[in-house]
Amino acid sequence: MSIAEENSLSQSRIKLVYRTLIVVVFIYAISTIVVNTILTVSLKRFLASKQTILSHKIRIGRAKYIFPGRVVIKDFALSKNDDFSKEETIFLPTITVNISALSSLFKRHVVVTDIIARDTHIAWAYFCVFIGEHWEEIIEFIKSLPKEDVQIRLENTMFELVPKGYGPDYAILDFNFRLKGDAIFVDGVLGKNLDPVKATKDIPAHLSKQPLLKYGFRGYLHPDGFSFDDLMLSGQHLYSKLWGDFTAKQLEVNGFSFLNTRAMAPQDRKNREAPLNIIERVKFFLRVLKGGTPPVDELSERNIYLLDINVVADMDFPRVTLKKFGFTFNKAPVNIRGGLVLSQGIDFDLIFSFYPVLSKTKDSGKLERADFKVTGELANDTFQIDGEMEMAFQSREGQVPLQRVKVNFEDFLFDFKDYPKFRTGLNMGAVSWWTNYNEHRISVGNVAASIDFGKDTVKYIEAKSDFYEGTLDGKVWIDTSQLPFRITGEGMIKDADPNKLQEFLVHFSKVRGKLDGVVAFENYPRLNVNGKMELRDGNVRNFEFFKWLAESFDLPSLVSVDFYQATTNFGYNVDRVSLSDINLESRNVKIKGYYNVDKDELVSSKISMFFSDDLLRPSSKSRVLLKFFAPEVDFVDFDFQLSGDQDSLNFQWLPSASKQRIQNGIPDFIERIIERRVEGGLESEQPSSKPVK
Amino acid sequence: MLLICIFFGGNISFAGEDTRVYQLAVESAKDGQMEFAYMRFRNLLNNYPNSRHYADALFSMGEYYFFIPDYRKASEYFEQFLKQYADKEEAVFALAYLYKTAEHGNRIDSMNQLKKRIIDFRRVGLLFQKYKVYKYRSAMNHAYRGIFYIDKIDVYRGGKLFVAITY
Repeated sequence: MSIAEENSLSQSRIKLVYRTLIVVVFIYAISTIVVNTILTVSLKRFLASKQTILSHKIRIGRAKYIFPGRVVIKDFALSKNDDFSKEETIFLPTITVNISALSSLFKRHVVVTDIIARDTHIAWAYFCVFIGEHWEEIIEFIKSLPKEDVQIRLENTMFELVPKGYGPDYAILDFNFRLKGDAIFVDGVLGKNLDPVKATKDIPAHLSKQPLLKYGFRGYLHPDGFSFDDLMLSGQHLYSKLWGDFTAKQLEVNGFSFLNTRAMAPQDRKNREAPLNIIERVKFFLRVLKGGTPPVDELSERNIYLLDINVVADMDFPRVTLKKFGFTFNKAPVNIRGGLVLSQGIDFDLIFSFYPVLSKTKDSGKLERADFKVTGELANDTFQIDGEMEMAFQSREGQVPLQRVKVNFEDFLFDFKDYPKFRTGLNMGAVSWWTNYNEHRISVGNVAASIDFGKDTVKYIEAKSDFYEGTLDGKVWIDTSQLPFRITGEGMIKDADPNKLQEFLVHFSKVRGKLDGVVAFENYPRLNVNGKMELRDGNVRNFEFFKWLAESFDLPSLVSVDFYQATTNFGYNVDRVSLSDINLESRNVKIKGYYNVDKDELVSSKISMFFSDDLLRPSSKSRVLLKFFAPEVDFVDFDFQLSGDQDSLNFQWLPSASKQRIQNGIPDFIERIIERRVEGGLESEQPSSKPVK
Repeated sequence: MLLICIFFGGNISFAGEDTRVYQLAVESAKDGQMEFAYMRFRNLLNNYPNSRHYADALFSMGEYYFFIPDYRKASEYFEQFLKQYADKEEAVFALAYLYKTAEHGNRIDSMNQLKKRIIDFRRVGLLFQKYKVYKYRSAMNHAYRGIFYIDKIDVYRGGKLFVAITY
């Protein structure tokens, strides 16, 4: 071929390319203009007709077609109200719809391949209402879609968790939904904004996202409903696998979960941060590159196993009725029944039952069963509940039985907006416990507490409450690194009425006045309460031994002994109640000593009593004692040891200088006469048969 | 007359007959013939329910079974004794026997209950004495002594410590 011919050929080729380009540009321009024009007109007509989706109002900014197969919708909003306020809106700033132009040509209808929405903003409360009201229509809509593969992706979706006025709190969601025939595939990541932000009208441009939870499942649509398997939830403290069925408004779920409720203790954290060898480092780096949560094998610190999960629930939204919800908690069976109402918040009425004794493990300890009944609501990051919990313990031969514990509370408020710090309030609460079939009870009212649930295993609570007409300021530490939790506490009591404490210990029934005190408490290894009490301006009334002295020696003022001040150390555990370093002072009587009562209600005590001249002189039986002492003695002392049953105490007059002086002044036969008279008096009080518990 | 005797034959007891049986039992016990003593006490219990020696016979039956040993039967007799004669001073020794049978069976809860019953048996007031003593000699010729201190009770049988309770 000659040069001229070659030049002619190349010029033809260039012309062909130019013509092709012009055609493509022409098609691109025409199709873009036409489609966009159609879109704009359709959009105007659509908005003018005030269409709604499921009676919720729609607003669209604009729509744009990009050749060959992409539509971009800007500023799509769904709301209940005309003003599209942020608190009641689902707002999608950008929706990208990808279309398969070729498939659309062949099938003569628009074939959507995927839909991507970025930076969506959803008001959580409104979202719950929308889903709750229209979940059935949504399911039907999905079922009605053509059986063509389509993918929907939500990237960086922000759920606003609290309404305006409380300060923004967000969860961030990535959501991937794939429909392939009748099969549905879902996966994604849920994160939480952990940066503190001040309340503002604008949505922050960037929010830190720390993935809390990876999720995914595979599901199948069928005419009666929907089934799913392999529903996986995986987080730093959770791994869960579930499968189930939703048919005719009934949901059935089975599965298992592992949980780690223990935050790493400082020592564990130090061990974790210890340098790894090179192979471990490489493995770790590769896992990080793959992204996301460590695989389940890494949930090595799991301490809670929820196995054999079986749920059967009637889903008649907004009401969910739990017909059956059972699982094992570390091998101990648990059963939950009741109902929930899902609206803007969650109302609930539930009963939890727990049977650790059926686990037959050594860790089950003595707890036989626990039942927890609770009604209330969860809304705006606050629980408000009334409830009652009852625990029964096994009795074991030879061991001091804590038989039962019951906790009641009314109007318990639990505010976790500032997690990990919580605020709580309680209108009325009471704890009752039974040992040896005797009931003991402590009540509090108007409690205000703050709880720090930080990363450490030891949680801290500060509380103030009303306490038997006085006040109680307390601090409690809960060590969650072991089960059951180890609880220690201390408190300060001011101006309480000791007589009202008789529901705690019956001995307080004999005491009146004002009580101040400090108290320390622990539950591990055994329940133990101790402290110091100071009573003022009160009296001790009808104390059995004093009553006997009053009757036997004609000292009526001993029936009710007034005092300015009385102090004592005290201790309480399931073995005994103890009062030590007792010091009571009044005008005519002083008392020192100790007084202990064991679990069988047997007393062991030593009391020194000092009676004044003014007390003894008016008594015909007692004034005779005064002659053994010099006139200038103001008080005569008597040392007694007490023992036996509280209601009929044994007593012994202990040796002392005063006793020796009296004995030296009376002959032996007088001693024997006195002894026999006392004996006779005691025998005449003896009931014919003593009841045995 | 003969007809009346025959009709009421099984239920007639002559005055003093129970005492005779009782005395024979006591003598057998003194002679170390425990089985004979046992049979005679049983005869007394079965045939002379209103006898003034009934309490002693009941106690002795309990003693006999305790030392065979048949602790279950012993407990039955001592419980019956306590049901009918809780006010008698020797009731504390019946309680001591029940405590020992519970101790043999390692029944901790029963031991605790019986310990409390022994402690509650009599209220003690000691002004010039250091203890109070209760004594009893059983029909089986065993001497018992219960010493009640302010914080402990010692029960002796035949001079040997039988039960010690501290509280």
